[in-house]
Amino acid sequence: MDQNRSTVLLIEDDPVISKLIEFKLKRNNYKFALRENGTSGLEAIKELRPDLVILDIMLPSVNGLEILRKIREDKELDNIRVIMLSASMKMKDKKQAFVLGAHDYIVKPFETEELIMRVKKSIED
Amino acid sequence: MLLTLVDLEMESAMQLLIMVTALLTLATFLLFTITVSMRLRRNWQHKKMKEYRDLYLPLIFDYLEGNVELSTFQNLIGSDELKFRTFEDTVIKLIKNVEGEEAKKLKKALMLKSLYRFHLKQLKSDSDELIIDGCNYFRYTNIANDQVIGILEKLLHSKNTYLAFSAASALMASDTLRNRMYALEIFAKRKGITKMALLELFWRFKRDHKGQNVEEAEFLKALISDDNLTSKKRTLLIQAVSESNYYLMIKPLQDWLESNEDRWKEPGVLSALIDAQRIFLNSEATESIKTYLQYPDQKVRKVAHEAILVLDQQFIYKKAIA
Amino acid sequence: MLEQTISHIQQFINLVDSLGWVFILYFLIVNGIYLSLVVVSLLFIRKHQKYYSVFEPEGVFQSDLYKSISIISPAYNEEVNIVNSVEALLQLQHRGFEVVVVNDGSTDSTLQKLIEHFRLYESEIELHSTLPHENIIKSYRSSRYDNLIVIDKVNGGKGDALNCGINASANDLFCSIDADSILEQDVLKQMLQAFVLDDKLVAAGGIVRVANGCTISNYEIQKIDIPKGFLARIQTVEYLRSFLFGRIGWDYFKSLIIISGAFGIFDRNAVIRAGGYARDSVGEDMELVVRLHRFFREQEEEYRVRFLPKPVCWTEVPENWNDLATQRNRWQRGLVDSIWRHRTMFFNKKYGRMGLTTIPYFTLVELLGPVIEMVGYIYFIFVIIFMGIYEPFVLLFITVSILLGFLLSISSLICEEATFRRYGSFKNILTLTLYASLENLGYRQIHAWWRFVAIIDYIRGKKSWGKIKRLGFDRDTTSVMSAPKSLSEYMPKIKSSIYWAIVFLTPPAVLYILFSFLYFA
Repeated sequence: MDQNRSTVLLIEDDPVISKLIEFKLKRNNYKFALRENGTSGLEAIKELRPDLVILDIMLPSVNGLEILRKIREDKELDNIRVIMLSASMKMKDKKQAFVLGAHDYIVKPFETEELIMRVKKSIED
Repeated sequence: MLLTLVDLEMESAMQLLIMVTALLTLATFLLFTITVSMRLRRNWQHKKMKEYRDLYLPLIFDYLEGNVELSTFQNLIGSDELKFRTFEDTVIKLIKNVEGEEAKKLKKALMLKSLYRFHLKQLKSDSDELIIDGCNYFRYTNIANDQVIGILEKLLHSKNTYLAFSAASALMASDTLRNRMYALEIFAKRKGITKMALLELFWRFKRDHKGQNVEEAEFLKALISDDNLTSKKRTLLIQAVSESNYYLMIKPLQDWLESNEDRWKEPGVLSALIDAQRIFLNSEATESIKTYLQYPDQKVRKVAHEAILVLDQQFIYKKAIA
Repeated sequence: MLEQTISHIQQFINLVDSLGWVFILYFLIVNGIYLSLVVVSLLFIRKHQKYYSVFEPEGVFQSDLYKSISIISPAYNEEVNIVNSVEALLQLQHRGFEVVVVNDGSTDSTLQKLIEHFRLYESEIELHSTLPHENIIKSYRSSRYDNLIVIDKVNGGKGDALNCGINASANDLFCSIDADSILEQDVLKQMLQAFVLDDKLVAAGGIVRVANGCTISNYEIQKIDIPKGFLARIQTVEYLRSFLFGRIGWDYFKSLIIISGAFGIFDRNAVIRAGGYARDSVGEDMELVVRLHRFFREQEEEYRVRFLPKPVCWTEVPENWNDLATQRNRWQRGLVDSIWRHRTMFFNKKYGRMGLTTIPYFTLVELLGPVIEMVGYIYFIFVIIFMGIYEPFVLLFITVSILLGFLLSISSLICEEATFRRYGSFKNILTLTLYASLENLGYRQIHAWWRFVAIIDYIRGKKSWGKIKRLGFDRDTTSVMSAPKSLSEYMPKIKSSIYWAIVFLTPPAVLYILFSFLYFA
């Protein structure tokens, strides 16, 4: 039973948002892991091999897109699915994220139901 | 005589020396005491706030799912300032990131009696900082109370720009269009505000990304044509309206482009109007724009050229699919 | 023969006894003014901190119409730091800003490093204004970051490079930053807040803090700490005293005329109207601000120049005496130059508060100050030697120059503790307190000497910038330079041992004097 649960890694520094996402994901029976900055996030991806990564663009010290780029540049991690979490709804920014290899893009403020739907879809793909 | 003079000088010199040394020792002592006590207090506060937050968050999530009542929070928090500050910060953090039904519920949660009363008192105080603090709270609630609205509207006229801006921001949270219109209008006509502040308020004035409101459009039409507006602000509002896809404004924008009134002929305003036609793909304005291709102002010519390029394509496309 | 000379000098000193009062009054007034500035700062800053929460831009994520910032980084022979520094800039949290790096004809591998790391390719850059500067050789864009522009040009000095950067930048605001500085993450947002809510703002400066003790890696500051080096620690206290609380105080009185060259944001249009940076000044940052004041007052337009204490820039400070002396020499020459160029403002009613109060104050205190101080110290030593220590003048002088200085340094530490607390642990504050005292026992005096020399240098016409050795950000703060040490390396050690000996002997000596006097009296 446990093996069928998918793991989602969230890279997000804000404790309130991460608790919210954790709550919603766990409600929907996903395994959850959290890292608060880019460097430890990258390490966690290598260690845990999550089924999906939710990556916030506004991380404390580094641009989330840089982390995305690093993920794509690493041959080992290349096929990990990533959903970007961003405050910008501008087309330019969405395009940049997709060009760098994001699977999906969620704009803040978001509806939690929508988040869950996209998570489900990304994992099932 | 000289000796006593020297003695006098020496004495006052000594006194000054002793006084400064004493002050210095006192200052050093104060430094350490302040450091230690402030740090201790701060550490304690942070620990407490984290405790409260860890306690409230799961309850808030349960509340969002419908399993917990608002009264639970009221009982938990009471009037303890540290507690309700934590609660407030946490809920506002969530509101900033969440939308839809859950955001509505969160806004309701924010209207807890103790919070509401506390911040209303701040609004009525004399200190600018406290008022701003109060405005920042009301920004995240659905203001329906006439008293609050009345105070905020008065604050819009304050001499302090920061204050007026935070009051305007707070009014933008109201679901009643009338309040938002009033705030935007008064703030737009203020002297000495920057384009960016106006732009920021405009984005908060807009409600839905999808639906468009005839009343809003009427208001914007009146505001943009208002005589009291400077050209720069007029330009900005036109640009903002185009960028945010207010399709109900297409007709007024075209009318202004074709009008002969002076206020629409200012180069900045004119460029914005032409550009608006391009953004809205309004091919009906093509002929009017063509008259500006040789206009004396360089910026206007450039914008007109770009617009024609796009609109001509549009025209060709329409013909192709006909 | 000796007796005669001594009695002559004694007579002389008796005659000009009033001279002693000049020095005493000078120190009393200067230290007093600074002390009040610090107190005013404390009160003002607490009030100000509330205002920062007012403007939280949300629309910036939706709209392209937002005013944006161009960060201009002039670089000359910065191969050690340049990649780290530019990467750090590109990681700042903000939308739509651009980074313009101007390579001012470096003779080392600065440009090559940039080309390699950022995968630069040649590209035409549109110039949006026509400020004068030396020719551009080539301009580049980056395939890794689409908001990075690098311009390679003929060497022309920092002001020249900045003018070039201004011409190349497309945004309404620009931020000038040194290559040896790192900005904190939300700096741009904080700076923007000030410009958004104040229509008349033309220039804003932020606080510069000492980065030498911080651990910096991955282009960001991992840990903040005070430096280990003696000089760096003294500068930490000094920066707090004069660059933080001093400037907040000036800002309160609307008389800010210095914005650190390391970190300032300007309204591009305003600067262009005023003529851009001066290309032949060693103090081009201060000169620009003074000129902005002058320009807008002459135009009779409302304007404002502000200091914002919240946005922080961490910068590397010199850790050896020679480099520090070179730097301070240049700063002082820059100050003299800026004021001299605009000397028409001196006591000129046309320039309002600037002309009647600020410029005269800076002229008297910062410009002529070192001269008065040096003469004061020499006079002080003379009095001790020839009249003995028990003169009232001696006591008064010690009180107003050294002790009042202590008070000033300690009070700025108190302010730091009450407001920003960036330096972390309690132990750090203790250390800083010690160094606050040490600052006044020799450092300020040596500093006055450097500034005094600089004034003479300026009059002699010296224009150079001097070389400063860069240690780079990635170094481990516990490692030591492993090059073999020559005798010249030991000189500083000998000097510092003498210094420490004097420092440790002074308090007991003072106490001895006090006691013997009390018994004597």
